[in-house]
Amino acid sequence: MQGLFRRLLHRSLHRRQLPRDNKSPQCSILRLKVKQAVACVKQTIELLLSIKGKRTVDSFHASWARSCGTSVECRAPRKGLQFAIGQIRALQEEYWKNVNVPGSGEDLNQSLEKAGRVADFFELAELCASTPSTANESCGGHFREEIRRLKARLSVMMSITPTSRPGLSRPRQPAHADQGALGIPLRSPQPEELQVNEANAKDLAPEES
Amino acid sequence: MKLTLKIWRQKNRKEAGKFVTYSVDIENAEMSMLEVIDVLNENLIEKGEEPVAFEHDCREGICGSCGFMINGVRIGPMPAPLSASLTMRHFKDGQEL
Repeated sequence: MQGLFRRLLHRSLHRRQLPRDNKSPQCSILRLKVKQAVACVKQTIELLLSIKGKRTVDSFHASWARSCGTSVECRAPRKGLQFAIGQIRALQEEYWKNVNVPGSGEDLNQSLEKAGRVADFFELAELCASTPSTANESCGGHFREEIRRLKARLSVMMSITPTSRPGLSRPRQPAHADQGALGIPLRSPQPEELQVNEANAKDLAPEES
Repeated sequence: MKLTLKIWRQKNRKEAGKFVTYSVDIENAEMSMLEVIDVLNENLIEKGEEPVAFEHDCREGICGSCGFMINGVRIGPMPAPLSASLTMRHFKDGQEL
């Protein structure tokens, strides 16, 4: 995984064609972005260390996994997803008020590392739950039960046409067996037909003056 | 089941380290060594102390991150690949590690 990440990073950096001159405007923009990102990370670390709540990061992680495992899975009905979104938001709110991260941000602190990851997990879980709940389809990585049921009902309704009512017989084959539903011939034309068509074409062709 | 763990603690590279003794209550003998340290860390955080830092990643004995020393041996008392698969049923009640 780390090797893959390194390769991806190398490729993306290579494609970006970073400027070699440090005084170029591109570099100054990048420097500003890096400063902003570092400030943002420092702010998050300070916030996490300053909360000093009662619950550990692991307990929040376990609660997060429980709320996601029951509702945000492959088989995800909309009600379950919305319930999970509510649970995740409530848990996230509690997290930023009641988490306990011991230690400091200057030495090795695995609790702080974990706290940052769990904070990201809340956002990721909300995204994973909200995306299929807003999409009215059952495909890809999410299996929406109600959409499947709706599709099954629609297919049954489409198969029941007025001609299938009692008393009316529906022809099993089209009127012309060699024609499809749209009147397009299903067989290739015979040589005689082609000859006739050529003769007709000669008749219909405009006379040369 | 109760285990006594003597763990090397060192805050940073400038400060001197020392062995600190901890006692852990183990509910399930199928717990791995990593899970035991997780339980210990939960207890330490509840007491307001700093948890034990230990290396781990996959927790399945595949990546090889959790190969720390137990009783001076890298793989513990049994021929287990790593501490992720070293369960507590291989230790006696009240044993000191």
